[in-house]
Amino acid sequence: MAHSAHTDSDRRERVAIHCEATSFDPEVARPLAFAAIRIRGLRILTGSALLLHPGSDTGLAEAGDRLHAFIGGRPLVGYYLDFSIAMAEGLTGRPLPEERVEVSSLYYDRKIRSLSKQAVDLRLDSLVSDLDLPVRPDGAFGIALTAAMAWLRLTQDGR
Amino acid sequence: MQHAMPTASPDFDFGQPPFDLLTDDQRTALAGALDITLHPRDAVLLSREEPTDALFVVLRGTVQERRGGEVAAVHGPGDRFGLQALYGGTGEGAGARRFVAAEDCACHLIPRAALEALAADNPEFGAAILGDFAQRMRDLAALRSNREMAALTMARIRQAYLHPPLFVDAGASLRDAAEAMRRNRASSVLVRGVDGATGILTGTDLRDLVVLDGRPATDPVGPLARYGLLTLERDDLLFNALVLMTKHGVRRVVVTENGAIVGLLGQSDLLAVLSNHSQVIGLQVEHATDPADLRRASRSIVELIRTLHATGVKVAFIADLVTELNRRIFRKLFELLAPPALLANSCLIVMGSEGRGEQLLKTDQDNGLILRDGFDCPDLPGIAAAFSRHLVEFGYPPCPGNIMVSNPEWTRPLAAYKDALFNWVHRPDEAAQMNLAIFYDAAPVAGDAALLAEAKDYLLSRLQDNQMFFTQFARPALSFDTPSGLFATLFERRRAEAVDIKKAGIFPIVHGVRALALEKHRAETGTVERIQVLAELGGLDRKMAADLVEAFTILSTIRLKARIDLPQENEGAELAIDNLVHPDRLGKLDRDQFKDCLALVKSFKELIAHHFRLNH
Repeated sequence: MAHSAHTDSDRRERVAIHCEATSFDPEVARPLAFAAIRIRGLRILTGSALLLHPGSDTGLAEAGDRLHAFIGGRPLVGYYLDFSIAMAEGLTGRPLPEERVEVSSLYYDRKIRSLSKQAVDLRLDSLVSDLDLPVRPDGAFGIALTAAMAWLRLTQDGR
Repeated sequence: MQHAMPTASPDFDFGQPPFDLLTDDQRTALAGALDITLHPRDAVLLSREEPTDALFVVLRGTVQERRGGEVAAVHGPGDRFGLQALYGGTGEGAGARRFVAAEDCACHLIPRAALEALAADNPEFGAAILGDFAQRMRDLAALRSNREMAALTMARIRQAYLHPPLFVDAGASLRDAAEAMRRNRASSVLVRGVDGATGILTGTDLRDLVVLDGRPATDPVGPLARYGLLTLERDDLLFNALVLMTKHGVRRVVVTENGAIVGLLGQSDLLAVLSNHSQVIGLQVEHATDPADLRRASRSIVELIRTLHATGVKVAFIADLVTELNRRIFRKLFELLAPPALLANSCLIVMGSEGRGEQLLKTDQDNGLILRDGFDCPDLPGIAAAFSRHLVEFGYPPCPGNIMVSNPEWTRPLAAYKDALFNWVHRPDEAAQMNLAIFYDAAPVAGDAALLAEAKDYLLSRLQDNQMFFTQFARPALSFDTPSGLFATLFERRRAEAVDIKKAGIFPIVHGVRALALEKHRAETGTVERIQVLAELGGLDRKMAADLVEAFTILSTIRLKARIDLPQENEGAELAIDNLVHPDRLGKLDRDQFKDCLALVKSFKELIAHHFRLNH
């Protein structure tokens, strides 16, 4: 990986990713779909998003290469991000950018300030309705988009 | 999407006009091109500092459109905004507007490229979304490149000048073909093949065949012509013609209508339309050899206005263009009809809105002829009658007040004009007031412009600083009621009731400004020019002047749109003159603007009443 080749615009953008797989155990799971959506400023670039079905519409290695190329050096955003990253890195064996934001953690930090001792409901559906996001969190694309919106909303409000 | 369609993306509302005009494929394409933005409360979505490359469609929440410190409009889910910023560049006034999130909100963004592709693909949609835009772009800079870009995507072959088809039989010789081209000043001929096929033979072909290949000029053209013509229907997009020419490396395509060949479209004619539609009409006017040619040119003005309006050209530019074309037609017609001696010794003038250069469509003829003192032309009555008659044929309705060249009252020597002016100033009655008003707006069109200048100088010299005269002159500005202000709620409730935009809005501005300009002895004729010069002289305060110009532009735009939107009874029909505006048929933004404008007109009328002491 030639990290030096990544441009400044890569760094100003982020990429929300999500992987849908046959299992939640990265050791045995087979990826079904990857979605990756860039975020630039307040804008979620859904018009140029990437949706891949490795093994059905692309080869596994090709899917991994395209995903790497799409992400470049951009920081990652996701819900249950570790799993998605593990699946993505499993395709090529190459690492993805180190800068990562787990939106459920952001959400947890936000809630714990106001809720004190109550348990925080971290389910995605609850997060969507609580943050009032105009999205249906279904499928790899829907969840990646939800993560992008949640990240925007949670980082916006802090400003 | 680079790969597959999002399935879980927030649904774009395709039920909302004009998106309901899109086909399923186009909807899929649009859905795939959309971006999404999320904005916290109080965030600025759009302002002059941040030019945009996309049209915003509100998905969730409300967005306030603020002008200065005030909320000019509120956009909720399904409403769209930002086209102005998209096409407006850094136009003056564009920056006065900011879009601010009234609460947390989300928007779909349609990138400009996707919007333009859809507009090209689906002209009805294009006209709806860009036309809708056109009426809002009062503060849009008339960026030439933008105009041409829009014209490029929307214009049809029908709007281009077509060379009439020139046919020769297959048995004709190469020499005959060359003869025919020379006679008709054409650069190609169409060949009727023996088997019914049609071929083409161009000047270049002739050169190659005869000069280079040494073929005898007596050879028949039949076997030498090229068959398999590139044809397009007359209603195809001009853009397609450009693509076809580029692809095949040719300079002309054959144009058909219902399968029959109606003409040839040359590359240069195509480029002329794409760069400026008006050139075609201008060309037709310049090349006219009889009134019938002029008639055709004149008819195409209506189509030109439609296109320009649909492609978002601002109304002041349309008015300039239409004024220029109308005047060229008048001039050419007069030159065709009048003998040289008459041309040298007279001045053809247009008055009223035509004189002010504020014609948007063909309205009543208001014209006259000033003859040099001592010049006599025995054929004059016949020429004058023919002139007015031809103009009626061209679609310029006769003046109800008979203010036309064909009326001897308006075709007379300079001295007689001076007498009339003297009477209008010193013995004002209602007709005299009106005559004076429209004559004050007169502009020269053909012949010796010095004659009009002298008459106008005379008019200004006869005006005294007579309060009574100006009080009389200004009074008509108040003759029609302007609903607004206190009536705002009433206005809402009775939305369906039509408002005569000319009487309620445009005329009070035009006439009030005219009275102020006359009082200052100004020679300008256009309303906007007059407002500007009055502001410079201190006759109007700058804020009022700026607001008046804006209101005048908006009202003219709404008026044009109201007329253009009237259903066309049949192809090529003239646009009917109708000054009624139905507030309930206006878009939300327009309705708000319309209300603002009427409120301004109301306060301008108060200013006029006070200034000229009309209430005493």
